[in-house]
Amino acid sequence: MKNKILEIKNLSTVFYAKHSGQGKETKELIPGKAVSGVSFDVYEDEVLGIVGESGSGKSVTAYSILNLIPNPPGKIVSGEIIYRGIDLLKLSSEEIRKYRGAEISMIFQEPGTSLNPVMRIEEQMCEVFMSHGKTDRAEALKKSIELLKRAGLPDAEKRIKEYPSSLSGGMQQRVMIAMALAFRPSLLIADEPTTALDVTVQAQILDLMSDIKRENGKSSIIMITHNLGIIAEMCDRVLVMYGGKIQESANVKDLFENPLHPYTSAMIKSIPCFGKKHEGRLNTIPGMVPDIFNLPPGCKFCNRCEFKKDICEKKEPELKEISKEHFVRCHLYEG
Amino acid sequence: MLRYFFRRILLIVPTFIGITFITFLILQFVPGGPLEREMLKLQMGNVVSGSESGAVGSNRTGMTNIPESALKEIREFYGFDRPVPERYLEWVLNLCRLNFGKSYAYSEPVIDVITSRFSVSIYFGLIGFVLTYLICVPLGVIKAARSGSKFDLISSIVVFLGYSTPGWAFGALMLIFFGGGSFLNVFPLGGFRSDDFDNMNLFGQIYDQLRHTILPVISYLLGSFATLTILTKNSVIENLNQDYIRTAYAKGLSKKRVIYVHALRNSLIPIVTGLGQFLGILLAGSILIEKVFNIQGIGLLAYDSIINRDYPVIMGLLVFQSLILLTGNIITDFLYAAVDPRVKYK
Amino acid sequence: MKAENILEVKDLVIEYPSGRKKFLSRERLRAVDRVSFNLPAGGSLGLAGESGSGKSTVVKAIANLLLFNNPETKIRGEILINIAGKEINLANMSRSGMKKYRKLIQIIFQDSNSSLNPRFTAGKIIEEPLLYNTKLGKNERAERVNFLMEKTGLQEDVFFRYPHELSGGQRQRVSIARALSTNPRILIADEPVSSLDVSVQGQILNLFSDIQKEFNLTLIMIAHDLSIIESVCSDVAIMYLGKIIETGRTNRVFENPAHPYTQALISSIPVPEYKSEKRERIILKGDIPSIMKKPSGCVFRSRCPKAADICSEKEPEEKEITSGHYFSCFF
Ligand SMILES: Nc1ncnc2c1ncn2[C@@H]1O[C@H](COP(=O)(O)OP(=O)(O)O)[C@@H](O)[C@H]1O
Ligand SMILES: Nc1ncnc2c1ncn2[C@@H]1O[C@H](COP(=O)(O)OP(=O)(O)O)[C@@H](O)[C@H]1O
Ligand code: SF4
Ligand code: SF4
Ligand SMILES: [Mg+2]
Ligand SMILES: [Mg+2]
Repeated sequence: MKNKILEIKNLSTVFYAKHSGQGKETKELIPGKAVSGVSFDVYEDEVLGIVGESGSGKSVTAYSILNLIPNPPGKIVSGEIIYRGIDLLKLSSEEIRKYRGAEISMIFQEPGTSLNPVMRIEEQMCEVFMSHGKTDRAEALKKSIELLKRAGLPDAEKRIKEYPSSLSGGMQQRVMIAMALAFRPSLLIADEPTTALDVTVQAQILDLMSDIKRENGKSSIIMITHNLGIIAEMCDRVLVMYGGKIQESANVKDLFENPLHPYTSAMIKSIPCFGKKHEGRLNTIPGMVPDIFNLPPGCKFCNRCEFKKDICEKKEPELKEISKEHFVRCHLYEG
Repeated sequence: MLRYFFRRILLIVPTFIGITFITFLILQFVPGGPLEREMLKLQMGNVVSGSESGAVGSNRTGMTNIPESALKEIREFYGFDRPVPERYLEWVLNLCRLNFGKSYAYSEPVIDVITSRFSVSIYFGLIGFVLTYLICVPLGVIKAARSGSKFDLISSIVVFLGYSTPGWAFGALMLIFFGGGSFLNVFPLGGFRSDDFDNMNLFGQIYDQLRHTILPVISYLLGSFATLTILTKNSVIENLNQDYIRTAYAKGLSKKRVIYVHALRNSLIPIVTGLGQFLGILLAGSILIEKVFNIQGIGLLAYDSIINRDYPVIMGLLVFQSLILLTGNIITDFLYAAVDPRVKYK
Repeated sequence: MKAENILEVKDLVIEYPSGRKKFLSRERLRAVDRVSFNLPAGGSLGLAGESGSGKSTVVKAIANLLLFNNPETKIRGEILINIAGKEINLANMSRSGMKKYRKLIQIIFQDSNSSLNPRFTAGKIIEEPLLYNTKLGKNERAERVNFLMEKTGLQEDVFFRYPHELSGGQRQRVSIARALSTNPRILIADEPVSSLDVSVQGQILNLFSDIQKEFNLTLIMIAHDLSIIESVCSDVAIMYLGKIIETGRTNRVFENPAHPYTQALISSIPVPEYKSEKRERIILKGDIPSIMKKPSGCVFRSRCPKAADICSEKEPEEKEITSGHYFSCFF
């Protein structure tokens, strides 16, 4: 059995807002359950995928791991994030700082806005080294250039003097990756790292991430995406999220060859898949993702599910292990 | 970039000529000009002397009462006998030699009148300007960092009270309480310096100048204080919600560094943008505050010269003010490019 | 112009004025370079290629929006449309001249949030083009709006809602209903599903297929996702730096891509299928160059894995491999 490096137990994160859907505004702030009761482990040397439509709580889960939820309006209301035996959520802001960017790093969806527009790349890279211990500027600069080269930024010595706006989206993402690698983190969380990029550049970035993973040995990656293709090509194990909950969790092979949850199989059927002839119309999932302020009390997918039973609306199913390491949350598999 | 600013500086010339020529032209048609004033004076004299001699004024227009020769003299004295373009050209040529002409009202060279008043206004303007930025920007940043705290709330109330009080009224109130001795004799009743300033030793002089400075500067600033503080606060808060702030935290930076380096640098952009114009406004002085504190500043001079139709002074002030505004705009652009690397002028 | 074609684009060249000034004249950026294609009535063409390749510029020229946005834009070549057997060139057509034809060509953008008037209700938005382009009375207009809403899958209560009260998918349906209101012949969609949720994308793409048949439309759709084009369009044109480098029937081009760029594009699509072995992919180096720094000879030269000396010396001619399938490469 592989070693667990991260254990997430019963994580729930809410956002408060004056809102109730249906066009009417409430007077008080009410909590919207962006993530509720999420538990999963990350093992050494694996790529764990988190997939789901936008609004399903993927990013919020990721930010919660490093306690990066902006408060207000957000709040982590329960849960433990245990990294190598330590609960990160119990640490003071000064203590958790040592983990951020060093043990666990993140890269984001929009490389353009994720870099500070008025600071040179140089400064943004060097500060990572300098705020995690006593590296002097010259040393930090040398290391930064090395990392940028490693991340495939051409002309790194010159480019490091520039501002983010003079780089293309792909180059900006390379800078983000270089920054995230500063201390050879044991876990890299990538939140839709290629969604904003062209396919050809997406292929470059994914390739780079695989290379780095291979070189760094025992490090792990959490790959967040809505793109099932990326899941299939990059990940070992997958969590499917919907309505702030994990609906299915399996290794990639089982997920694609034997999807259990109606949402998972509907999603796999509905995306246009290149190279497969579609006879006429695409399969679709009717309706849309529920609003976090108006989640159905039972199964979160019940208003769109073609297999819905009476019990689905009333009672939320449990996440159950159906076959080895294949979990699903659905009444079809209960009892 | 350099070429852009060179062009901008060159562009001052036509803009400047445009502004001054139009004003020059308008001044010719405003009623109550110096010609009419002189005529009125003469006419009044005539009426008085006419009634003494017992002759009945047969002509109501009075114009005929002024001898043609006197009229001509006045016209020549003011140069009104020549066409407007010619006089404008002459004015410009004189301007190039820094000759602004003579004030009608003060019978002194305009340049002397303006510079003596201007030094007072620059003194108050610059002190106010520096103080506002030194206080408001840090205050705004702290308010943003501790948004929603008691400190934030109380300082907001104070700042807005100041905003809604007219500066001159506040000044007058302060004078009643602290000035001259009715209640407390902390501050003088006004003026730029005490009369015996020249006889004081250095410390005495500094103390005296300070005593004369504090109340007017506070009154000057009262309005702009709130604007700049809130602008800073909002700008910092807006930036704290940006994606790159999340990156900065995710990198493991301290909260201090995130706010005071990452967010602040971006927040400076709108603050710097207002700098040039703000300086222009402060240097323009304020008639009411100058009146209250009896300061011989530029605001009062402008007011008096318009009332007195003191054309050379009006034109002189126009030259100064438009030069300040135009250079202020260029400085703004320059600073804008300096704080925001994305801005590229071509 | 062939009778069955509704649109023929011939040697279209579009140059934007650049900010920089040259001696006496402004430098120009050639965003579209000798683009030609034909579209039969009822056909559907997909335009693909990386961002910056000129896709939006081409369709904006067809919808006559370029001169409207910037009168200094230079357009050369011909954009011929076939209206009841009459041939009309829309390139450089003036605004007043275009008035008659505008209702025949409608365009839908990616960001329906900014292209719908936030102060109008959905019903009003759909009705508005009817006011300007038709002589319908009030009741007839209401009837038509209801009809369009039904056809685009909008519930009746959407009629009274404002754009910000609608979901992304609903807003895109409103955009489509508005575009259909004037009975256009050609419908252009510029990345219509890029900002939508995966599960909603399919719904909107199906809607496009449905209305295309039902309203007998000719469709031009831009999509950076080749699988979308594969599922909706009968023909495809791949663009790179302002040029069409490969074009033909969708199934032919995608089954037998001839141009190295098309091959790379197809190879970079992640496939949602489990494979025990990771497949070999063609990964292009670097980014698409800026249009100010186009390579000499073949535009794709700087990133082409097959580039040879000849590629920098001259531009490859267009070659036909099978009927209607063209590509521009020496090899
Ligand atoms: N800063 C925030 N303020 C308010 N609501 C938020 C915030 N961040 C996320 N949410 C809400 O939480 C839910 C989950 O969002 P997210 O995790 O970003 O979804 P995704 O799966 O697309 O990454 C969404 O409904 C979103 O609106
Ligand atoms: N209004 C404009 N002025 C100047 N250049 C433009 C303008 N619009 C687009 N461009 C340039 O033209 C090229 C093609 O743009 P576009 O047609 O939008 O590409 P695509 O839609 O394929 O992403 C790009 O390099 C872009 O920078
Ligand atoms: S629990 Fe019921 S509604 Fe939910 S996915 Fe399973 S069958 Fe569908
Ligand atoms: S012509 Fe040369 S550079 Fe261009 S695509 Fe063909 S092989 Fe590549
Ligand atoms: Mg997200
Ligand atoms: Mg485009």
